[in-house]
Amino acid sequence: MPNIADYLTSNLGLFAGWSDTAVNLLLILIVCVLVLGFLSLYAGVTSVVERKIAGRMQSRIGPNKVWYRGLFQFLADGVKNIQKEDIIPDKADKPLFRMAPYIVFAGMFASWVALPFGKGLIAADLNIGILFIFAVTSLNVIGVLMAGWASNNKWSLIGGIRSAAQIVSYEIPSGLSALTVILLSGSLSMQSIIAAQGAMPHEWNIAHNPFTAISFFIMIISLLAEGNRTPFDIPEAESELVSGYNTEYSGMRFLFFFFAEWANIWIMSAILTTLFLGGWQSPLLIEVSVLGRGLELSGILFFAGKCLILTFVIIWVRWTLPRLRVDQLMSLCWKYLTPIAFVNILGVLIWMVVFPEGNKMTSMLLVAVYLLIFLYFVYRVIFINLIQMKAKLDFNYFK
Amino acid sequence: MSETENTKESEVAPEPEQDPNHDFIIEKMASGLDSDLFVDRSFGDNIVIEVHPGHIFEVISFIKDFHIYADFLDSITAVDLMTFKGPEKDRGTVPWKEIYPQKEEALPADENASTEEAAFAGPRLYMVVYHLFSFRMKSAIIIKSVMPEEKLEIKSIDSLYGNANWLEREVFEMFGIQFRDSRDLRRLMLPEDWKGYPLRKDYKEEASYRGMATTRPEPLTKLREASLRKGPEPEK
Amino acid sequence: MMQTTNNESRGLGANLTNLEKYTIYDPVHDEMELNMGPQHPSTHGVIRLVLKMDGEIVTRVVPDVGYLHRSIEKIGESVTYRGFMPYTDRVDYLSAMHANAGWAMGVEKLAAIKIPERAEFIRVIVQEFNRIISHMIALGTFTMDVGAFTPFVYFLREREAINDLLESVCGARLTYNFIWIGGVSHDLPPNFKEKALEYLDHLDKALDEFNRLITFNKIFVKRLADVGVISREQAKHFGLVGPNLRGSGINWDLRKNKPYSVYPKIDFKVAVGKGYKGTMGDSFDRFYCRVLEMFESVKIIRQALQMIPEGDYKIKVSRKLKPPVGEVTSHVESSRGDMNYYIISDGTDKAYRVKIRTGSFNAMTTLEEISPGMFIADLVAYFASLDVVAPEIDR
Repeated sequence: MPNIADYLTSNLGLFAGWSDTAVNLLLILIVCVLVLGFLSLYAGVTSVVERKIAGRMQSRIGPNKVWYRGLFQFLADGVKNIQKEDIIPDKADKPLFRMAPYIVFAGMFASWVALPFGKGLIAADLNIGILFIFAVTSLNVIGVLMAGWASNNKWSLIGGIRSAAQIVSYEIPSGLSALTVILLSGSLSMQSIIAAQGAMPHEWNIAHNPFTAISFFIMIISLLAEGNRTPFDIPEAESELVSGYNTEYSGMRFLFFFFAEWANIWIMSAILTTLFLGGWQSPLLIEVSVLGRGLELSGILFFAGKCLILTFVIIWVRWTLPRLRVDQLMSLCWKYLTPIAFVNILGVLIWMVVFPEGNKMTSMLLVAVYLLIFLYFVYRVIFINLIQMKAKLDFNYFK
Repeated sequence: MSETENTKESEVAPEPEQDPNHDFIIEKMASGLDSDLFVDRSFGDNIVIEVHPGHIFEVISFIKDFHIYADFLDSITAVDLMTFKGPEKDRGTVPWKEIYPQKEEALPADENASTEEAAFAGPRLYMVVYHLFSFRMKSAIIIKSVMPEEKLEIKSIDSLYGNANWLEREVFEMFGIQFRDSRDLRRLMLPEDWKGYPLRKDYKEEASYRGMATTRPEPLTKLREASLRKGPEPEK
Repeated sequence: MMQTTNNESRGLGANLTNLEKYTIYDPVHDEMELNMGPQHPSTHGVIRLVLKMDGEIVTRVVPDVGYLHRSIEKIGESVTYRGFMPYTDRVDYLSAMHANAGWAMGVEKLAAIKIPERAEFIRVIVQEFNRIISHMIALGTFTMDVGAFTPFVYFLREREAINDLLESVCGARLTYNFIWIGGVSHDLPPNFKEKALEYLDHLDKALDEFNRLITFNKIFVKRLADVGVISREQAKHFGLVGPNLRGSGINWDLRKNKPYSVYPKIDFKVAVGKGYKGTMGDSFDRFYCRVLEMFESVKIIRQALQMIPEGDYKIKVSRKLKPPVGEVTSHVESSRGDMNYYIISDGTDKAYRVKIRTGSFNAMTTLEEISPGMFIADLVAYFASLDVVAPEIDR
C-alpha cells in the first residue's frame, strides 16, 4: 500500500535527483507539517464546535464573537494562552512538570503516523499499524501520571493515579475487541483492514457478524475511557478533583493537555472508522487532479464524514451523561467488558469456521437492526421530546 | 401617639390554645421524675419546662425515652439575661428567683452596673434553651435552664442527639457556656483565637483582629467631614 | 482548644465499624490528609471539609464552617423588628421567601397580629414558587456534582422564568424582602394569575423532560442509589428536616402536620422516600423527593391562584412595632426543611434575642458520622444530596 511520501515522490515526481537521505528527511518534515497542520486545525475547530454543540444542547449560544459565528474562537484562545504567565508551583518537581504536557502531546502525535486519511493517504502504512497506535497512545499514561505527581498537589496526584489505572485497564477490552477485526482481515495494517471491508454498510466489519457488532460497542466504550471523555472523565472530574492532573497548569502547558484531548477525539473516531465502519471505502468514485495526478477524493470525504459523525457522537455523549464512579468504572471494565470481549473473540473464530466467506443474511439483518434503532431514536426525539413537550422555551413575563 | 393609631387597625389574632398533650407530658414527667427537678412554665401553646442545670441530662434523657419520645432535637440555644427588661410578672418564663433562692441573697449586686441592670439586682444569668420535638406526640417541648455567670456549666447531651454537638459548640463559642462531658467542644464558626463571646449583651469587639481592623468609619460621615474641611469650591 | 473526649459517650457506632472494616484491607493505616474547600467546586459556597483519605476512600471527615458567619442573630438584637426583614433574606438566599415568612409569622404571633387572607394566599404562592426555584438549584448543582452539566443549565433556564415572575411581584430576583410583618409589601400585579398559570403548564412538561434527561438515567441512578444511606432512626437522631427527613421515609411536613397559614385549605401530597431505586434514605430518595415536591408545589400554586380572595394585601403595622414581653418559636417549612426562629421580646422595638435554626445546620452534622467509608465521589454526591447552603449554616 502506498503512503503520502510515495504519493509525493512517485506520483507527483517531486525531488527527482536529490540524495536519498535529504529526500527522506524532507519528506518526514513535510508529512509531519501536513499532519500537524491537519491535527491543529481539527483540534481547534473541534474545541469550538464542542462548545457550540454544548451551547445548543443547553439553550445557550456558545462562542459567537470571533469571526463567523465564533469559528475562530480557538485562535483567540490560543493567543490568550500563549500570553499567559507560565506558572510553575514553588514545590513542584520542575523538570517533570515541564515535560509532562509534551509527553502527552508526543504520545498523541505519534499515533497519527499510522492513521489513514484516504486511499494511499497515510503517513506510514506500518504493518503493525493498530498495535503501534495502541502502544503510543499509552504514552499518555506516563505524561498524565507525571503531571499529577510533579504538581505536588494531592488532587492532581489522585487524578494522575486514577488516569493511570483507568487507561491501563481499558487497554485490555479495546485491544481484545480490535483483535476480532484483526482476525477477520488477517492483518494489523490499517490500510489492509480497510481494504478487507467493503463500501456498503453490510460489508463493514460492524455488520459482519453479531460478535463484531458487540465488539464495536465495547471498543467505543473503551476508547471513550482511554481518552478520559465523559462519562469516564474521572481523572479530571471537576466536581470531585477540582480539575485532576492539570489543576496546577496554566498557559500554554495547560493548552497542550487540551490540545491532546481534542486531537485524541479524531484518533478515537479514526480507529473506530477504520476497524468497524469501512474506513475510506466509498461506493462512489470522485477523483480530482492534484498537481497533475489523480487523488481519490471520495474516499477522503467518506472517511472524514464518518469520523466527524463519530466526533459528534462523542461530544454528544459528553454533554448528556453523568460521570461514573471509580469502582463502577473498574467493575465495568473487568467484570463486563473484558469477559465479553474474550467471548467475542471465540465467537468470531467459530463464525469464521462456520462461514468462511461471511454470511450476507446476518449482515443485512444487522444493518436492518441498526436502522430500526436509529428510526426509533428519531421517533422518540420528534414525537416524544419535541411534539409532546411543546415547551415554550423563552417564557418571559415582561414580553 | 401615632403608633397606637396604626396598630389599632391591625386585627388581633386569637389567643392560642394550650397544646393538647401538655397535661399528658407533665403527668408522665411528674410520675417518672422527682417533682423538684422541673417546673412547668407552659404558656400559650408552648410546653415550657424549667430544669435546674444540674439535672438537665437526666430530664432530657427521660423525655427522650419514657412515654414522651422526644427523639428529635430542634435546637439548643442560650440567652444572656443581663439587660432583660420588663415588669417582674412578665418574666414568668425566667424564674431565676425560684431556682436560686439562696444564690440571689449570697451574691450582691454589681456596684458598677448601670441603672438598668441595677433594677434587676441579682446574679447575672444565662439561660440555655433546648427545643425538643416528639414525632409520636406531635408536640414541641421547650426546656429551659438558668444559670449564674459564676457557674456557666451544664452537662452535654451530645450522647443523646447527633446534632447536639454542633449546637452546643455554637452556644459555647457565642456565650462561653461550658458543656461538661462533651465529646468535642471546639469553636465552630469563629477562629480559635477570637476573643470574647459575641452574643453576650456586654460584648465589645476588639478594634483589630490579627492586624485587620474590625470596624471602618461610616462612609457618609467620612464624606461629610471631608467636605466640611474643604469648604465650598472656590470660584474661578 | 477545648477538647474533652469520652469514648463511651461518643456514639460513633457507624464510624468505628467502617474504620474497622477498612483496617482489614490496610493494616498499615497510612492516611492522606486532604483539604476539600473552601474553594472547591462541589462544596457549594464556602465550606471546608478536611478529609482523611486512604486512596479513594474517605476515612474521616472534619467539616469546618464559619466562613460566611455574619452574626445575623446579633444584628437581630440591634435592629427593629421590621428592619430585620432584609437580613432574613441573607440567611438563606436561595429561599428568601421562607426566611421572610418565618420571621414575619414569628413576630405576628408575638404581637398578636392577624393578617388578611389575601396576604396569606400571596405568601403561599410566592413561597411555593421559591421552593421550586430553590429545588431547581439544588437538583441542578446535584447533577453537576455527579458529572452531568446539561440538566443544571436546563434548570437555570426554567428558574429564569420564575425569577421574572417574582421580579414582577416584588422587584427583586434573589433577596426579595417581600413578605412583611402584617402582610406582603405589594399586591400581585394585574396579569399575574394568567402568566403564572401559563408558566405552570410549561413547568409540568419541563419537569417531565428533566426526569427523562437525568432522573432515571442508568448511570445517575447507579451513582446515587445506596449511597449515603440515612436510616429513619439516624434521620431523627441528627435532627434532619425537610426533604432530607422525608427522604429517609418519615412522613413529616410542617405544611401538613403542623399546618400554618392557609395550607390546611390546600390539597397536596407529601413526597416521602420509599427506596425508589435502592435503600430507603439513600441519596436518590432525597433527590427524588425534591423532584416530587416540585410537582406538589405546582399543584399548590394552582389551587392557591384559584382560591385567592380579593381584599387587602397588608395591614398597617407601626414602623417601631413593640410586641409585648414574651417569646415565640415560629416554624416554617422552607426548601431545606423546618426553619425556626426563636424570638424573645422584652417589650422594646428590638428583639431581645433571635435564634435562627436552619435545616442546613442539622444536615451538616451528619457528615462526620455518615461519610466515613465512602469513596470521594460518593462523598460529593452525598454532600450534594443534603442540599446545604453555606450562609444558612453560618448565619
